[in-house]
Amino acid sequence: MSDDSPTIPLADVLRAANELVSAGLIEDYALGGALAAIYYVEPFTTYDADIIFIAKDKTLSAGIPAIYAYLQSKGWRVEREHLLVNDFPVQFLAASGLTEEAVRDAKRIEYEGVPAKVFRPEHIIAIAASVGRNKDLARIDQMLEQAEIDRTRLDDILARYNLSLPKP
Amino acid sequence: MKTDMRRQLARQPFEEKIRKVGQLIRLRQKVKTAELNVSEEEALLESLDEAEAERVTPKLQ
Repeated sequence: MSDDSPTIPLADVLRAANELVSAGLIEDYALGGALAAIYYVEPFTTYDADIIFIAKDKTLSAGIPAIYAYLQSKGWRVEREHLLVNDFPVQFLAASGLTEEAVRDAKRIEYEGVPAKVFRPEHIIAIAASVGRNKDLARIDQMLEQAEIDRTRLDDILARYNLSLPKP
Repeated sequence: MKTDMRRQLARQPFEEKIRKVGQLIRLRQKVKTAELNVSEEEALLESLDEAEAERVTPKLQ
């Protein structure tokens, strides 16, 4: 990666995800993980992008081989569980349950002119509560402190998925 | 960093925040490279010290 190239080619990632929808390989997608959180809070270091998708192919593979083949034909490389675009790792993760709801309910945005969707803050918090690692608990604190949260929406999601926020 | 400053950063445009994350990644990479160079240098100095110690200390037969 040269010094003047963008370290995070997010527009390329989102453009590719849109192409996957157009090509009929996935039904829908949204940006999740740390980059989705950064949409709402201060920037922090992260080393990959998570694209959460609703599979068209409902078999066990969730159409991942076809997604990989499509992106590799566009010059993306594969390295372990990541696909790399301009050396930046991207994970494509099949949605289910709470994450599928998060994709369907995601906020529509434009990033450098590319239409995309990003998880809403209430879903980011609920997903973090469901995973529960230390970094997820830190993310919940950060979201509650810095993002505008719809408490009614958050409480509804937490109740439906039988989740609770960590005690302060 | 104060909470109000963090909130101010949080309100920046997404594109700007992603650019800053890129800068953070580059900075981390530079720090990591510098740390690696320092530890390589330390290892080299250590091995030179050991070699010197072996040279001046007569070996037990």
